[in-house]
Amino acid sequence: MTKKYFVLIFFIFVLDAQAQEVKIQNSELLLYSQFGEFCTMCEATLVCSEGKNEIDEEYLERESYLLIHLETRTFWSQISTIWEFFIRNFEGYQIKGHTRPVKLYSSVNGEWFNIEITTAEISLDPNLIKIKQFLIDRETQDWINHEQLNIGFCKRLPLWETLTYIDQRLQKNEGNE
Amino acid sequence: MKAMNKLIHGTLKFVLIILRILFGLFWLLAGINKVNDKWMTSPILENIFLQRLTELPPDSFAVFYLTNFAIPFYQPIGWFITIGEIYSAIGLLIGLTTRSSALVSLFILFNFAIGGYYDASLLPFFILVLLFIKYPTGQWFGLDALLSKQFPNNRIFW
Repeated sequence: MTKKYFVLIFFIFVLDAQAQEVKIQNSELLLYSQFGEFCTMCEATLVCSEGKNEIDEEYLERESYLLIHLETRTFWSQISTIWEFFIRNFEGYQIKGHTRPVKLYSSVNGEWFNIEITTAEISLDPNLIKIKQFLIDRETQDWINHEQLNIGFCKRLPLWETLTYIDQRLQKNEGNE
Repeated sequence: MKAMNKLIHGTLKFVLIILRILFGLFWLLAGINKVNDKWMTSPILENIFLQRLTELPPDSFAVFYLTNFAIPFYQPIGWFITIGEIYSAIGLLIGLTTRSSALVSLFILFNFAIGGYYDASLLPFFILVLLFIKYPTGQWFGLDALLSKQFPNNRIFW
């Protein structure tokens, strides 16, 4: 009987250690907080460019990049989180991703030539963000095109500063037109 | 016509009771998760609040609420939310002190909302708890029906 308890305790420790490992692995993902997946009302800004660069305002003014603004989930997508929360309590039924609106600002040498509103698919297992024809690997932060070729890297930017920058930039562009 | 009205009334009561049980189950799972995540015994809730601070507009009321109330008192809040959710869950599941359970749920939901944890998923919850407060669902199905007969002067079972 005692042996059975030892075996049981051993398995509990092994499972707990595995769960901790998964948590640690997940917490290193892009847009994953230590408390779980990217939240419904959270927003994020990322910049994807060819090399691993130091991103600051000067960079955004002069270089070529894709600036990504991931917005909050839509109304019905937020409602659906009730089901997602409920089902994740049952083994094997965890939700592996969601979609949300995204704004893309394309820049060539600092000139914003295209602003597009589309949808991003954020998934966990595989750990990817899919926007239109390209992917972002959430583990390596690689920026990958539709032919699965690595075209650069993506980096998370400070949210509120970047949103202020975008607003100022758009106002400046409107003023110039 | 009278029979039809009775049927509609009965169906609505049945639906509301099913929703009450589902909501209770949801709340129970939420409470159990909080016990497992050590909300009452570790600084996890403080970390959750601090994380949320970085995601909220700096000039919002939620930031003020978190900074001046939720973060300094994270431990009693952790206790209140965890025990409150489990109490409400049991109350709503078995129809025991149902309206008080719904009131506690309403208070917790309200604090989630003003603390910056608002999203559209809170709307159905608010509507449901208001219905559980308005209608005596514990009298329709639950221990309140028995206990209110046993203790007719005790309003908590009504």
